[in-house]
Amino acid sequence: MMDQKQALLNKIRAYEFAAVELNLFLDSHPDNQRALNDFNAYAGQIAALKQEYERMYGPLINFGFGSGSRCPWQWINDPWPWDIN
Amino acid sequence: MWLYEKKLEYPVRIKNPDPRMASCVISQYGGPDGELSASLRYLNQRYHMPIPEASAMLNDIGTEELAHFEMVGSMVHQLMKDAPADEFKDSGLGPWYADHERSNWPATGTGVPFTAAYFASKGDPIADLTEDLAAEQKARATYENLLDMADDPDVIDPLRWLREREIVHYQRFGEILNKLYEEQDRKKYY
Amino acid sequence: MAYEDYQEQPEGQDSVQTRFPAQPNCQLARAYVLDQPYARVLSPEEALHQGTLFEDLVMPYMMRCQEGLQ
Repeated sequence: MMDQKQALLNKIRAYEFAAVELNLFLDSHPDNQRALNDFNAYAGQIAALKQEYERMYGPLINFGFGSGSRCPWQWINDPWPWDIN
Repeated sequence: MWLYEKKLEYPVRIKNPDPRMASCVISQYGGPDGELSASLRYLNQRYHMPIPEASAMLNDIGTEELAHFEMVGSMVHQLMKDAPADEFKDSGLGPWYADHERSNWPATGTGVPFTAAYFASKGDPIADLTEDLAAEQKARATYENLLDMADDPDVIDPLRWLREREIVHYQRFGEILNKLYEEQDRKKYY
Repeated sequence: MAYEDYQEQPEGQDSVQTRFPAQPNCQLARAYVLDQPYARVLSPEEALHQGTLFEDLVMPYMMRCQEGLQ
C-alpha cells in the first residue's frame, strides 16, 4: 500500500522534473518547437498521474489547485515531505 | 503567486543524525551562497528586466531555488532530529542548541544570521545577470566543499543532485545574458 | 593573439573598429556562454537521477581522494 503510493509519487516526481527542465529551457528558447512538444506531452501525462494520486491519497497541491478532500481534511496529514517517507 | 506541492523536488532520506554535518550543510540554507540567497536574489531582480525571457527565467529559477531551500532545510532537520543534546555539546554546537534546540533557522553554521546583504539587485540587467552567474558558481563550489566532507551516502546523494542543478542554472542564465547583450545592441540602432 | 585573429577595419567615414573573424558576433568586455542545442535528452527517470534532462550538462564532481592531497 505504502509502496504503491511511493511508486506513483516517484513517477510524478520524475515527470515533473522533466517538465521543470523543459520549462527553463523554453524560457531561453521560446521558439523551439521540439522542446515545446515534449513539454506539452509531459504536462498532459503529469495531470493524469496527479489526478490518480489525489483520487487515492488526497490533495497533492494546496489552495484548491489540486483535487478536493475527504473528511477529515486530508491536506494536514503526516508525513510532511521533510520527514522521511 | 506561489503554490505548494507536497513533495520534495528530489528525495531527502537521512537515517543517521549528525549535528556537526548539519552545521556545515546549513550554509546552503542561510549562508551567503545558499538557496535562500539565490531565491531572493532572482525573485527580486525579476521585476526590472527589459525582456520577457529574463523575467521568466528569474521567476522560474527563483521558484526552483525555494524547492532547493526546502531540500536543504530537510537535510538540516533530519541531521539534527534524533541527536541527543550531549552530541550537540560535544561537537561544539552547544550554542546552536541553546538558541534553537533542534530547529531550523537561516544562518551559517557559526550562527551568522541571513541577510539581504548577501545579494544584489542592481537594476542594471547586465550586472544582475553577471551576479547570477557568479552566484551559481559559488553555490556549486560550496556543494563541492560539502561533498569533500560528507561520508554518509544519504547526505552525499542530495548534495550531488543540488550541485548539478547549479551547473544547469549557470547555463540558463548564460543564455539570458546573451539575449540581454542582443537587446542592448538592438537599442543602439534607431 | 596573432595578427590574423583580429583585423582593424574602417567602419564608416571616421571610425576604425577591431573585428574578430573567429567570433563575429562577439565583442570585447563581454562574457558569453554557448547556446545549448535541444539534443541528447534523457528519460525522466534518468534525468531525475542525474539532476538534469540534458546529457550534455551532466558534469559530475570528481571528489578529492580521502587519503592524499588533491
